[in-house]
Amino acid sequence: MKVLVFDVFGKYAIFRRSYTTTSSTSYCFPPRTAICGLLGAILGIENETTNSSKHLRTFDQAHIAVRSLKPVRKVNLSTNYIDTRSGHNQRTQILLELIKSPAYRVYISEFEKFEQLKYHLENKISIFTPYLGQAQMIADFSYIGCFQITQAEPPLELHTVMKITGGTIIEPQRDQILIKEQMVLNMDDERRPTEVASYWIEKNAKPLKILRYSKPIYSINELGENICWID
Amino acid sequence: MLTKIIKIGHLMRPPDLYRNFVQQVNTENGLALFINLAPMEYRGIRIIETPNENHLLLYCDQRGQVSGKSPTVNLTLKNKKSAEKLKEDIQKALQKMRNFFEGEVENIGALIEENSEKIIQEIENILQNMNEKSTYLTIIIIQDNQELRPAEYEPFKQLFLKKAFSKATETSVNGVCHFCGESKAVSATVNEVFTFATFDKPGFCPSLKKEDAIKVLPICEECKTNLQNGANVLRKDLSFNFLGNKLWVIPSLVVEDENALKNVINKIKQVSNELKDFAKKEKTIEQALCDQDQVHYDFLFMEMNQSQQRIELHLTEISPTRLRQLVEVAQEVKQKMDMEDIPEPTLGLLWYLYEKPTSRSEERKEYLALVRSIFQAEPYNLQRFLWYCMRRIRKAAQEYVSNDRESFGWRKLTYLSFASILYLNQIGVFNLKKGENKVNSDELSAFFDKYPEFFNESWKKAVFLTGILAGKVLSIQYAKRQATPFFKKLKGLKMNMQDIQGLLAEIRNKLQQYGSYGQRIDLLMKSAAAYYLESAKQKSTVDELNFVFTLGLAYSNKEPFKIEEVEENE
Repeated sequence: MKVLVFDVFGKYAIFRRSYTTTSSTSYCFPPRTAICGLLGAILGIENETTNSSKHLRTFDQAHIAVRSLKPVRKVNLSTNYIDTRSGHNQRTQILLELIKSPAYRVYISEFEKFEQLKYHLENKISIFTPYLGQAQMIADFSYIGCFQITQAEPPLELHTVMKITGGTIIEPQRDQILIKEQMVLNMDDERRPTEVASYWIEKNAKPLKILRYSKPIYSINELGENICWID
Repeated sequence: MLTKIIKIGHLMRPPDLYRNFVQQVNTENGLALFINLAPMEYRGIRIIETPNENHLLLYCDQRGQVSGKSPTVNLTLKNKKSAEKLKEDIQKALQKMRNFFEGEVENIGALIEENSEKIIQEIENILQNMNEKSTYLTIIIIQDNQELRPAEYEPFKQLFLKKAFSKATETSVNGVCHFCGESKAVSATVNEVFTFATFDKPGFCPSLKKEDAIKVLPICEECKTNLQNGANVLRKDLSFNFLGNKLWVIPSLVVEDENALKNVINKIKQVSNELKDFAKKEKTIEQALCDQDQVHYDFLFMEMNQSQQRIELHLTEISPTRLRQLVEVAQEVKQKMDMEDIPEPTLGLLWYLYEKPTSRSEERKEYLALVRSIFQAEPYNLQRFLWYCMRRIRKAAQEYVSNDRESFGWRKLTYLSFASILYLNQIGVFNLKKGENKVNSDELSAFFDKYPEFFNESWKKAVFLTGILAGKVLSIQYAKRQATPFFKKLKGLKMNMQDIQGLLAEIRNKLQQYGSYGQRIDLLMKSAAAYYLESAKQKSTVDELNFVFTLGLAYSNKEPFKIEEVEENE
């Protein structure tokens, strides 16, 4: 199996936890839906309306993995929102929890638009502006390559975010901080969640030592990395 | 975080379903309407003592637009002085109570309405003699000569449950629960438990639409019940006061173990009941929290304003190891400083150095960023910290000059700031590295070697010694003249390097004028000069420069810089 690998980074990011509205806190890494949105922006996939999430169907066949390249650092920032839709110009100041200097490595397996995505990434072409969570947090990306992956067996060091499944055994390492995140994994065409999942991410971007895992883990020999899918 | 609260709610579930939705009444006394069932009649109103089994009142918070959820309603007494406003408040409370019975136990609602004038009058009379700031109004049913509190009367209990589930039942659709991930009937009712999840305020979030709430945050009935109970446990047992706001401590385990988690919750409950204020009793609380190794904590700093909840700061996965480190390092720093009146560095102390910032101020944000760094071992800008310290110290020093009296507020503040810097550095918030000592002087070297991470550059030692010498001049001036005119030379503690270096000559002149230039002073002067010569061009900020200088001022009467009178007059 082949995977496309690219890094995405920016100054700030926010992947809002859906249960925080009056003061927004952020997940530590982009959910699968946000990554699909980012890929959609690069490929130029349009939705008919803002309430639609049909673009996700393009990626239904794709497996995605994500790795945090930098320790997750969050800052709180007061932001003034203006409600432009109602026409009242009402301002609301809210406290946003942002990820500072985010950098993630994204891995995508083969899917319908694999070659097109590869072309866009190689040539740094993005049809719509890519961003990390909210439109003002513009993202940059750099292509790492297209690699063959091979299945690997634990014990090993896992570099990506790990989906929590039964029977997993992790060997805790000194100075590691594991953060558990629960988030929507996929949505239907009307943005209704169809699946949720929980993940472990290491706050300081250190690899996890896995002793047992019920899902497949893959190695990318050229990069010396082991990955597992978030879906 | 909500998943963790749901887990707590599930683990601590009460024996009766209705108790998941009952909240705690916090006042000692309340008012009760006495209603006889057969024949149905209003029997008057009395003050009652809040029962130990608080849940019997079937109370839930109905502030804001919420109404008809509970037969026990809040009565605010803040408008007691104005008879008209008080009457209005009572009418509103009574209306909320009537809404509970509306369409259900209708005759009770009707009975209350019939007697409303009389009830209002009686409540008014009773409230005039009550000292509490707020109380509640509940209903007691008399059946077969027995007085039944709301939960003891089955129809009320059933009605309470029905109301608790009403929105979920009316609005539920089939979907996937955001929390358990199962496909079942879900509703958008998380905001009934936590208002920080409200969908009523468009503009708080891009693309937030009330009608989309069911898509964004669907929750099933079982998770909602556990969430509600978890929230109640959180508010009642896992909550601390923190500098005018609330701190919720949410424990969780990496490896599932219900008994262990239960023990932790009970432990926090015990600590929270004994030591309510986190800022004042921080180290004791942290010591208690770091007892269990396998547990991790989420700290949620909440700002509560009426029914509004705002997350000021959310810290995840704080380990007991970190908490233990904070306690131990604070003790070590206190021992190292060896000053009786200087307390251990705590969050409360840092808040004081940041001038007690209140909610929504810029300082509060900076302060909370520091709190984040402390618990999560993240870096914080030393210069920014020094800016706040110097702001506090300068103000105290200004008072010292303007009052022209011996006030050592600035001195103590300097020690506190120094202790805080040592503490923050040792827990990894600052990154001060140890430096070498190149100038030979046994006494001075011993002092600098005690704090190698702070005195890691020659310019710091030079400026510190200049501060010591300036402190000598001030002490001598005060002893001889009961005034300290030399303080005015310090430019409000906003000097640059040239200003500080320039002080050396003036200090020498002054000390000679006062006849106090002895061997020890000479040694300090020569050492300072040697350190200046050795120091490379540095790029320190004015705040850092002046903090080091002020530290010298503060230490000028402490060992090893304390100088005997005999020596001074040599």
